[in-house]
Amino acid sequence: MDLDSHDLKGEKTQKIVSELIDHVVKSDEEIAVERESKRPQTTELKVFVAETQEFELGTLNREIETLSQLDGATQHAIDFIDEHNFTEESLNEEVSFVEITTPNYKRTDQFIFVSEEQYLKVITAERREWTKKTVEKLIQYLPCLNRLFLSSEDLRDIVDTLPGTTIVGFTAKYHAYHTEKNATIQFHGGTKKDLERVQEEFGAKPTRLEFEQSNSPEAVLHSSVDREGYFKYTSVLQGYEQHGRETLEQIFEEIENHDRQHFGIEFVPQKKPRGDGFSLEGFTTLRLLEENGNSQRELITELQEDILDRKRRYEYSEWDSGNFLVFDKETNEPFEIGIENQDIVLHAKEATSSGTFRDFCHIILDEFNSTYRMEKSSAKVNA
Amino acid sequence: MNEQWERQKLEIDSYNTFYSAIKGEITGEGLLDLGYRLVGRFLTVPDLRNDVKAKPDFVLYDGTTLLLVEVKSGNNISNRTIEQMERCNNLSIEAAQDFLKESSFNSPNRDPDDLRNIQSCIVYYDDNIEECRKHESCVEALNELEKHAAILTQQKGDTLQLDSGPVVDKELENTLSSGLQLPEAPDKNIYLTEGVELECLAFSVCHDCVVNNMAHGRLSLSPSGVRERYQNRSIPMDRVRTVFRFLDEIGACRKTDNGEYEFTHAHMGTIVSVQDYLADKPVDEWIDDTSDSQVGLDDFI
Repeated sequence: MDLDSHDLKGEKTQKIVSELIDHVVKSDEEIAVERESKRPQTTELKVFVAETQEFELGTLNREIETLSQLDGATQHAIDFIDEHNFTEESLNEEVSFVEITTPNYKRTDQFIFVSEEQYLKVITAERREWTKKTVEKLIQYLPCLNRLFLSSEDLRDIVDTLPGTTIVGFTAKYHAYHTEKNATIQFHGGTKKDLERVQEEFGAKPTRLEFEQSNSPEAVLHSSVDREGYFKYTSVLQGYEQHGRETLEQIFEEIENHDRQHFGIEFVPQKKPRGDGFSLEGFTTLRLLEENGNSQRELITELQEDILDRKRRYEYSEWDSGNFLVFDKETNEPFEIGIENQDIVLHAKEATSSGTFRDFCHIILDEFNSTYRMEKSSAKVNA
Repeated sequence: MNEQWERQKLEIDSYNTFYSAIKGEITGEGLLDLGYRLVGRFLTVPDLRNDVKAKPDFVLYDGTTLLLVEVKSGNNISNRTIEQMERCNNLSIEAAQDFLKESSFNSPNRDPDDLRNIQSCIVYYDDNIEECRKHESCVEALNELEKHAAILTQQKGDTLQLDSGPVVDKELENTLSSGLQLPEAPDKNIYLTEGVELECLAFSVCHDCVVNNMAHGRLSLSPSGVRERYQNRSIPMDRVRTVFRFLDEIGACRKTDNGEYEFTHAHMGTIVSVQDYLADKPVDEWIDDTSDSQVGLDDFI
């Protein structure tokens, strides 16, 4: 990517995003050639979405310095900081231009950081190989950023909500703690029907959905959304740049809404003094629901062995069978787990924030059982 | 096994199991969905005209009915219990209204002036009531008790259920007659027992004060600072100090030169597992074992 920050300085966010979209604007012919050649596309626009916890634009280097001095910083994080240089330049109130230089490879990667409310969107046309080594690591290591994680149902929902979309490919996965079976299915050119079949036959759920959006009858946009807080634009048809930007904004909104729906912690059991006693403000409970699991005893044992014991980030104790009091050493927050039949139920404590729930669900769906469905309830109790 | 802690654990469980019936954790149907809101825990409802004071474990209000709920983890129905429920039942409507107005409870559509009924409830573990019904003297006490309160039974993984006694609110009566589903593993929101024994206080310091304040990866606490957090409970300073000595003893924190106690990442394993130490032996015994070498001047300051 070869952006000149001078050209973008002081511009409106829409204009800056449009400049980036231009990287994937292609003509009919170019799109046809790419499709037939089956080669990886030349340029793709990538977007990574993270929740911000007290992160502000303009403070990137300060945050990196804080991380380098943090008690709990891992050697990987320290090495990452040592091996890269970071510059941040403000373009307008909600947009920064960020460059990450890797001196060993004499390479500079460019990113646009857009920060609105509690979400940060990192937009870039750099190659994925390099985003993985640079900005994705940065998001992973900075404690004030928590990369989003969506469920398979969310992906379906997001694509269904966008007007005129057709599924044109997907990756679906299946694995569960109670079986040896394991499947990863990549389906290029796969349709909604194929996805449903894969889901029925193998229990596999999508982790990535590829779709086209039409402005009938023409396909004007080719994109894919991924569970890991990531989506990309492969092409936007020439003449539909504005449409491309509007859809981008719509995807942002959809992703953020789904994130809030699952992981937003609206109420916690904070003790509020009242009279000569106290009251509890409210609660947030996130349930990971499973239709066909095995015995409750097996679930309890496996959860303990595969996740709570194995993941060094968690300290825990068992109050009663299947009832765990947990402390997450990466987020420095507690939460509680209750096993109810086949379901895992997470309870927020006074200091639990969305990042703790999100990370735990990410680990569970990725490494323990891919088939859970998430359902949250949150309410005020004392008023 | 430490029986004192087992008993406290049962009491803590009884409060949290009842609390989960308010939230409606399993089916999404709880007292909350019937319109009840939590006014508070450990509140005193005074009635100067009748010269009584009720001190129920939970007070809830739905806009018409004030629920006064006593939760028991033991199996005996003493005269004291009967008197306690009698006091709840004898409260006048006016006194209850005044109490609500002064309690800073403020909920839309739940005006204290609309209060019409006072409903006393007492909740027992269901096996305790089952056992009680086998003994004549206990049945007599139960009959006496139900003159003053609705008797409810509860059990984790089972239901909160009306056993006997009057329920004024018909919707509440219907719900409790068919039973409110309870989770197998209710989450813990209430950590202290009525007696605030050393064990539950130690558990509460760890799971309330420490784990919820580790945002910066470390935390310093002083006994007086912790006491402030429990401002509405009268907890003797000595007891808080003893708890800190215990935590220091089991390696859950480090005493600093200025008399504070420091909690870091390295202590979190022990902090979270404090109940395993409590289950092993009482707090006193943990300290007694080392008291000869540990007592220093600053323990008396």
